[in-house]
Amino acid sequence: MKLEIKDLHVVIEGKEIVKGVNLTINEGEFHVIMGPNGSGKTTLAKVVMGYPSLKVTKGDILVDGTSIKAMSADKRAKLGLFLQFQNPVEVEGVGFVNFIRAAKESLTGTTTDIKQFMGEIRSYTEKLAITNGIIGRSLNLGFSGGEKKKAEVLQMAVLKPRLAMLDEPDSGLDIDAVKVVATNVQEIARKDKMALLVITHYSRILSYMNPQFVHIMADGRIVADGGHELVMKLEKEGYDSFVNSKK
Amino acid sequence: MEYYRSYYTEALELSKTLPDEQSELYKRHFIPLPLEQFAERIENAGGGEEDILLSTLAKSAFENLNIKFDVLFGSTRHITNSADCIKIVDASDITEEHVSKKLFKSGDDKMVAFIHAHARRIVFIDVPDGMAVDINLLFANSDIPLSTQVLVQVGREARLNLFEWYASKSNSISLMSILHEIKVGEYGKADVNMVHNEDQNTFVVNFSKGQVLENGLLNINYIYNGGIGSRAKNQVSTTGYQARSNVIELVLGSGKQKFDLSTIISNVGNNTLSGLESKAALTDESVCILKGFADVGENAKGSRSFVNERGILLDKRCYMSSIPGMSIKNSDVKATHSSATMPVDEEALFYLMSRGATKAVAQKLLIAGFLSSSIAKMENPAVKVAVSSLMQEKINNKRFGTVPALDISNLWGDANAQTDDMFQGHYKYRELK
Repeated sequence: MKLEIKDLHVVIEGKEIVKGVNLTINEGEFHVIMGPNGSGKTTLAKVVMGYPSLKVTKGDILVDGTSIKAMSADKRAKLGLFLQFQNPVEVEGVGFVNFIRAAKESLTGTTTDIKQFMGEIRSYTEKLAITNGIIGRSLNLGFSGGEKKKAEVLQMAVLKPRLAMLDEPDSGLDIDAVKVVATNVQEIARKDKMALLVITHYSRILSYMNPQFVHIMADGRIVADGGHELVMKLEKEGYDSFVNSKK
Repeated sequence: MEYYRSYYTEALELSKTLPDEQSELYKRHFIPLPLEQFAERIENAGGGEEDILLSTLAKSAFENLNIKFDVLFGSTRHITNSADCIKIVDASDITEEHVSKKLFKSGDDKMVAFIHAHARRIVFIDVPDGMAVDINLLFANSDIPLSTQVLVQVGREARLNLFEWYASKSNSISLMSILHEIKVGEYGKADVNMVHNEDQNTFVVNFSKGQVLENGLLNINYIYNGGIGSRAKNQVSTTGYQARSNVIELVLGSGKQKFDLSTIISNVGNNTLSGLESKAALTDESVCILKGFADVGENAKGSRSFVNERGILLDKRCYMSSIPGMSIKNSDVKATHSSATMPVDEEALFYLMSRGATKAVAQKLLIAGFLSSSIAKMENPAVKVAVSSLMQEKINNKRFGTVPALDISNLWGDANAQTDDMFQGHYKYRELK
């Protein structure tokens, strides 16, 4: 899968949040977007996934050369896009495992073998150190912040998208959990040849991951591109040096 | 016979003279019932074809949902397969003693008077002290309206699982009208499930009164899935020390279905617990009015009471009005009520769609989830399966009035769901946990 974001401008409730972003992610690549609060990172991920109240006023989003601007979220998911939400919604009465199974069947168009499916779920719950309790609960209902993040990674592992966007996968996690999530995300992506786009404020999670491309976003624009050295620079100088710079 | 004549005549006169429901909501949304026509059809009914209808419905319920009924009730006749703890008294044989046991009086409501006047039978379910029994009943009306009274008495330390399935097959507007009177004795427990799945020509009238004595427990689940219009007036009183009652009402409306449900939960005795959870999911031009009322009496010291009404609207044309209320006459009680009606949550819809579910599938999952969290609280597994299958059939195909195929794909029992804590999640009472 190749994702191309071209001169993208996005407005919500009359306010422009994304102001001309260009970004290309090729098959299997690992990108990171870092930036201060309110820089438009989450909006960018949501608009790629097709969040309905975000309006694209200019530019385009292409998957393998085809515009997906007019596509609904489910069609984008079927193309292989996945968004790990910063704050996943709680849905009472929809079973966590039932939902993942329904989603998988919807994406693949095939029925799942329940025994094999549960085996897969259990293997990831062990790897991600998820308590089995959440398997028996409603979707995200009553999950702690850490459980929600891990449950999202579990969905990513089972649904096997071609490009996974992870919006702040480290927020709300303790130090040990950050390591567990980071190493598992990278391992799953590598195994399934998945492209990754990780959005984060902090470099903490990146000490356990090896992104190929790092982008700094400020005020709705990507203001710097580079590799891991950008993370080092951020550690030393903070976001201030990037906020007013022009790419 | 003599007593019946005088009783019948009194009720008949009252049914003609009592006013129809006067509320504006009723006038605006509800169907006037041709009660005189109904009465005429009941009086002139032969009933030979009813055996075929009853047998067909019972057969498909068994084949699809594995439900075996103990008694099949038609408008004019009944078929008994098993009669443990069940006694059926023909209306002409009722005596003053029968009537003295009743919680309902003819003057309570026009429809109560109508049922008293036209019911062909009284069904007595009497579970003796210390006995446990499961009873499944089928009620089915045809063009001939069905009016029946069901009197339930659960003895001391006795246990009853009662499952009632309501169905119909009518070509013109008809009526399913049932009166229930349920008494649960000391330390007794009754689990009563009334599943309404009548066809689109049938108007449903479901009135019930319940009374729970010391340390008794009464769970009542009302499911309104079928019928062109439904009118319910229910009252459950926890009268004995530490008596408990949990009432769940679930409505799934489509087309032009209309529902008017009024339920009063009364805490009468010390340390009693009464809970009402009403949920409605509406689509098309369906209408639902939920009136839940908690009445905490002056002797209900240490009692807890809870009314929770929720609605989800899937179409701009549907209408819902939820009216929770309370009256509290003792200061040493815990009582709360809440109401919320909303369209489908856009955030939740987007979340489900982002995982590959189409909008239609995501909506269905959300409705099923909305209802299934209440279905999960029902204790009888056969009821869970039947209700889940009915709801799935309605959600997926907007069909009702037929026996659905078994479908429990979205029946989800949350492992952490608590069935007996009516204050679960309410911020005022979180410290109670």
